[in-house]
Amino acid sequence: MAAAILLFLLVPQTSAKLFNKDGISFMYSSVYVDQTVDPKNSNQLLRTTRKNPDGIIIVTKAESAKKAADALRINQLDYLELTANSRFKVTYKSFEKIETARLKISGYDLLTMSFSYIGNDNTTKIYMKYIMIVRPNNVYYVTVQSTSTQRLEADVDQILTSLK
Amino acid sequence: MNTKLLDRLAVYAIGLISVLMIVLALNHTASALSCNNCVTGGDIVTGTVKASDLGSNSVGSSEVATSSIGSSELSSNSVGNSELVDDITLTTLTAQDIQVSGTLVASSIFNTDFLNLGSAVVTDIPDSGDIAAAEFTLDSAQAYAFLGLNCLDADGCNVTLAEDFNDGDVMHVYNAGTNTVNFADTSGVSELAGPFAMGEWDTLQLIFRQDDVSSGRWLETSRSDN
Repeated sequence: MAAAILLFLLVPQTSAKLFNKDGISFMYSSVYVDQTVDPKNSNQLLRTTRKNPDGIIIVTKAESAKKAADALRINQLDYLELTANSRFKVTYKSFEKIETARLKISGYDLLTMSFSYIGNDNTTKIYMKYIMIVRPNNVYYVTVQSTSTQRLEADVDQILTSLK
Repeated sequence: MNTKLLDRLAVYAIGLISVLMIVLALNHTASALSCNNCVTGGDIVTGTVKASDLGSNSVGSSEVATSSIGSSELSSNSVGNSELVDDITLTTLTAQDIQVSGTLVASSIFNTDFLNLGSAVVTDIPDSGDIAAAEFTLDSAQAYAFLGLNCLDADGCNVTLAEDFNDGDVMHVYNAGTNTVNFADTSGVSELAGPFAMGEWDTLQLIFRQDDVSSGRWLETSRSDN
């Protein structure tokens, strides 16, 4: 019993907190400090930052891709990927695509795109995971950014494994 | 009266006058200066007014004229955070101008622009204002995979496709307005089956073929006259 208590005290505990809003929920590290959401974007649901290494998670709800995808007679994830491929390279400086993946979690389709770009200071390499979650009437964008690729993967894993 | 007594009285008189002058001088404090501009910069010898001589809030921002304090007059750490009450506009900065103690806000290095990737974007093409068709160049900064063009010129709009795209980029364009949108069949730039005067709801599908690092051409894959 004493040994168990000692172990509990010695091993750093990675606590997590819950994001649950507007029909989407997941856990993320309690190291993140929640910030005021962007007042210019009423669909932004979460904006939270961390330090050492620097990181940011933003959750935004947007209109479905269905209308545009239907016009092209392709599925929504195909449409999102098409658009992402054309927009990311003009939005993110020195954009370098790492990988694209399709997932199905809790019955919903997901598209994840990993890439790197050069940050606003024109020096720091930023690693980013763009998670697009297709729901019947909306698309949720969960963007996770970090200066550390290892930290990014760990934070993304925590989100995806708890996503509902 | 003897001479010694007179000398002593003279010394006392001089001493009394000196004391009176000192008392008068001490009574002449800053509060006695009520005239505007009665003390100017030229009246103050360098080093005579020190920071410790200025009471808290004794100099308001309205009393500091634009450009009256140069950076050479501010010593290191002479302005603290508590003295900065609003945003500061900084121009012509070099790295040496900014020394940050503490840590920059984490989000400042991140690009947090929101991209609504699922939207069907419609771009307006402005009226040229003359009797000729409006000219419009569609470059990668404006391009979406599915893009509506709304020509606001009753004389029509001539669209030129830029070449700053990547190999394999696909673009589906449709006419989202009632005025005609024209695409030319231009060798080396937009290789179409022929010119296309797009009416409302007509569509054109293109794929980009990169020729070299800086140039390429759009190839038509299909069109629909709806």
